[in-house]
Amino acid sequence: MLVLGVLGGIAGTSTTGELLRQDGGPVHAAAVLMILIGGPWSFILLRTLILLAIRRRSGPLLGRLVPAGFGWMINRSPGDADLTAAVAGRTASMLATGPGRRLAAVGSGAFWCGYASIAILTIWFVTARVALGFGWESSWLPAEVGESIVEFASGPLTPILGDLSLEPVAGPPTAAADDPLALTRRRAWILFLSAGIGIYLLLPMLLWTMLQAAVGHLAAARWQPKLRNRHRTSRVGQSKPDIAPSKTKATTPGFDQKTNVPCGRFVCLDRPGTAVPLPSEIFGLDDAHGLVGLDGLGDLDSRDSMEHALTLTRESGHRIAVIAWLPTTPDRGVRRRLKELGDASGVTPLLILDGGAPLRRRESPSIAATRLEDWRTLASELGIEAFECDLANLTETSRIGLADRLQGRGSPDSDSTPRDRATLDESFAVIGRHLSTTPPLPDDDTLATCLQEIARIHSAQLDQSPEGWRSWGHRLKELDPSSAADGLKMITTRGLDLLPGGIRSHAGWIGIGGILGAAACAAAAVAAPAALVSLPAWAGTGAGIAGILKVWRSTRPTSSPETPDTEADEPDRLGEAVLGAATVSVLWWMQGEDESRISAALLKLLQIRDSNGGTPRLENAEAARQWLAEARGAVVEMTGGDS
Amino acid sequence: MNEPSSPLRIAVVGHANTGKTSLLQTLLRRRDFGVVSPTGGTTRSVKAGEIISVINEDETLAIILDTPGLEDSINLRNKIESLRTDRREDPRTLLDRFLASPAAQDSNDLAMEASSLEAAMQSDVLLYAIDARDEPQPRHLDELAVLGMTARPLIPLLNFTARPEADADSWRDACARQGLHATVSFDAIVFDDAGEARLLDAIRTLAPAREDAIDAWRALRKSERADAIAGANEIAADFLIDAAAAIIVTNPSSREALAREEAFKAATKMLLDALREHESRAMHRIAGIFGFSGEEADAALLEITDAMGGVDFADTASLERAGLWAAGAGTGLVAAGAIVDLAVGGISLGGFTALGAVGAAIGAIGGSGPKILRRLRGQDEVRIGKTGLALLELRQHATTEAFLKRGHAAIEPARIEATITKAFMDQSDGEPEKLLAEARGHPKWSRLSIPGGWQGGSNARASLALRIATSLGRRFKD
Repeated sequence: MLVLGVLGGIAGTSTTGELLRQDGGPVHAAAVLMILIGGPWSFILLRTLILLAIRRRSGPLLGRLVPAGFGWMINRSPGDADLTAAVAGRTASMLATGPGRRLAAVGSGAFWCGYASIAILTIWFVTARVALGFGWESSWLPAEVGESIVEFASGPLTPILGDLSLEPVAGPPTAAADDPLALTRRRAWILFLSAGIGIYLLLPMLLWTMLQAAVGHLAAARWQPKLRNRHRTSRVGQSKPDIAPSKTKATTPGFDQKTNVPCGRFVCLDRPGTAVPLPSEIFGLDDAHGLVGLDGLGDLDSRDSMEHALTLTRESGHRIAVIAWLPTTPDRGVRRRLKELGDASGVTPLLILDGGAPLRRRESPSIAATRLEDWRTLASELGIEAFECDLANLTETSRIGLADRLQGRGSPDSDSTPRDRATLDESFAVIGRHLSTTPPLPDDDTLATCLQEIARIHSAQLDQSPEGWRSWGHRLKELDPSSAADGLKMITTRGLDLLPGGIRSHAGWIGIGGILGAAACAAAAVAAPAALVSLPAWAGTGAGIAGILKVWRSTRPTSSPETPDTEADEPDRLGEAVLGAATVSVLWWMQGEDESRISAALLKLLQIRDSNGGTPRLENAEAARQWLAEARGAVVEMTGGDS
Repeated sequence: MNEPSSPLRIAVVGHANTGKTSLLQTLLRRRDFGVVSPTGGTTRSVKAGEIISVINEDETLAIILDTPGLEDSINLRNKIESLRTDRREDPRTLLDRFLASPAAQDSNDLAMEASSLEAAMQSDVLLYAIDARDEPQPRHLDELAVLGMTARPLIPLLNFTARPEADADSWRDACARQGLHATVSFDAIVFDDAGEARLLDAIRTLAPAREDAIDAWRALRKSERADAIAGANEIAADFLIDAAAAIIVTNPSSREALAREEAFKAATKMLLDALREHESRAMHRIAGIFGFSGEEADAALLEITDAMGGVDFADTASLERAGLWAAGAGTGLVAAGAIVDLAVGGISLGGFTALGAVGAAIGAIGGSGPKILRRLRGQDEVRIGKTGLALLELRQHATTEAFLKRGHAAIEPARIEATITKAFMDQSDGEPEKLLAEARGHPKWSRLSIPGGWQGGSNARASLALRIATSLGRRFKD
């Protein structure tokens, strides 16, 4: 503002000085006034008219000048020109409509105030040194016009200055500098010029500037970044009415619904080629499980294969097992194929729902649950038996269950094996015992021993034959038992592949992840894959990639080059260890349950004592034992037992 | 095909649950388009979304049609082929015959597939949505065979390509074997500008008569993106100034060290809590700029939180006690006085130095009066430190980056670890940090300062906000 004021002053003094320079003739007051006052106002008027003219096309007034300035900046900018233009546009918009516009107006006002003030001072300064002559003669303005202008301009000044006698007066030597009459006349002209500039230019500019400053201040105080993007660039168009959903026919299915008929053939329904090959001991000629001659009819994925399967099914009349792939959507196409197969064989097909792990890996828990429910609903509506079995992770238990179903021995109602609460109590007792013997914090070895014992409790009767290791075991066997830390890291990294998306981001899992990784390692060493397959524990293991490193680092010997973890203190670390071990116990104890129930139980553990998904802070072994008691009670109660 | 004057018509077709509606949501930037559900067959009629011109809202650049899934493609192809009476029959005639058949009218049979085919036949270009996580199977070939009968240019569009299970190469190979070479990857959940640009390029290639509409569409998206980034940066800058300028004066019960420490901790907590809340508000505002709101915004914020690995600006290192004495200017005055004394050869007897000292004292008292008073009362000033500010700035950047990469179909948090990487730090030229330093010492510029906090903005603050916004904007490239 000051600079602008000074610049205005320089303009004012040079203009006034030039106008008051006597080139032999008197000063033409009307011309001086017209130039000194009319000039600025004409400029302001012209600028306003120009901006008004372009306003309609390009937005607010002063803001139009800003983009021009930013244009230069944009051209120089090495970055994204579009972005710079967008920011410049917004800046311009703010400067044009907000405090910036007022700021510019204040700057302009400061310039003209400086101009007018210095012009007045210059008049007084010059006339103090030189006895100027004033008259009407001008080379470009007729005397009558000049006189009229002066008369018109002096009118409003009369209340302030009184009745001025503005008569021509000559300069020296015609009229002496000390001639009283000339002096009086000269003073009248000086007053007229000064008051004219003051009233017609300085005062309005001053008021305008102050107003703009005040309004600008308020506008700046109110400035906020824009919270909405420009406008919608799309809209929802017209739609046709929905096609009514297919009504499920409540009629009796066109096939026998007996489930105690052995399956003689099987087909695959949209099972991808990348899926683990079907276990030959079941879907082959191996009679190890009492299954003989379960012939494969191929994939039901094209009209030709469909026709082939239907023809063979009709001819043989065998009950058929359909291996479906859980990640696919059970749509009308699936429904039709299943129904046609059932109709062709005359016996209800056995729907084996494979691909549970890929489903969990691919979809969030909520979507996975919905997909499972959709498959169950489909089976229910078609009146066919469904059996969930992850063929890539077969355990002895699930293998026997599947074999029973294929031979028509099992039934859907016989699934729920009552859980023995004693095994849970035994697991928790193991944790409590280790708490007593390993003060103050469990290290890797203790943790592994504890988890091995828990694994034994839950998988004592598990198959450790080569087949048992087939899916998970072959990975776990790669672990080098001599390097527990590397083993933990490896198993955790692998667990990451099995991680359901929704659980990955759950804060609580991070804390216990390391323990679950250790559990997996321990189980790999002593137990069997059956304890691990199809378990959300693996999800937790994967989620614990951060947690495992945390626990690992915090329990490493001091000779380790790693920086000790100082973030978690002892109560936190003890809490992590106990929570992890308890989680593993509950997970294994609840095998065979619906996955949603398992997840609910685990979440229950995380919410004990309002820990809000975090690990509990356990000060000592006694506090840990109390927490375990609460955890046991909560889990048993949640699963419908009497704690 | 439509006349060139009518809007470009694009039909999104494909199997059930391949993300057709999600694609439209992202292409339209509208979460409120259609219903997305994990259950197949949610879309039960052809629904239209329109891309409209910025200049004239009445002008529709393109109409995108969401169609029901081709759920029973094996049966569909069977039915259509069974209607063939002549080996050389025009496929379009076959389709017309099918559409007039009872199966195409029966909602228990192929009515939904028929409505999709009808929409496809009336479109300029077909986008065949593929869930890239699935394996190409014969039923997909049936779908492609039927869609080929429409005689419309078809672009295989690979969705969910950002997922680790996706196998885009298999699909490209499978499509190429069907003579479809213009396969485009475009994930509706993890948004990618380049992917959308490739898609528009492909449409432009296959529908050259509509290149004006495509060009306008591209320009629209480009300016929309730039505008959104600029808006987000304004919000970020406003928040960062609030953070940088914030000062909370402690209020100890006595001048004892313990009381002062407790008061300092209380003030620290107050400042950090207020900052967290303020930051969350700023993030939600940025979400609004990008057209997200409610749960979608929260989910995206979770992405950021995850990606930051739990990094919190609120660590001890990010806080600092403000210095209470301002002596810089005073030192200058004293030095100037000494120079004058020296210049006059000591005749002034050190008078100018003394004068400078007096001036410095007056200045110090005048400028730091309240500070001195606070010092005398045993009060401290708590403000966010450089580390904290740097982290806050990083998080604001990450927020904008997250929304740029978030498709409007996304509901759950996506994994954006790449967002917060060392590259971010390397990318920083330190300019915003330098600019933020200008906000220091202006507690009234912050809505968080206590006491004497926000008393309205000022031109200087608004100007600084825009400079910071411009500086932040330089980090976003095409």
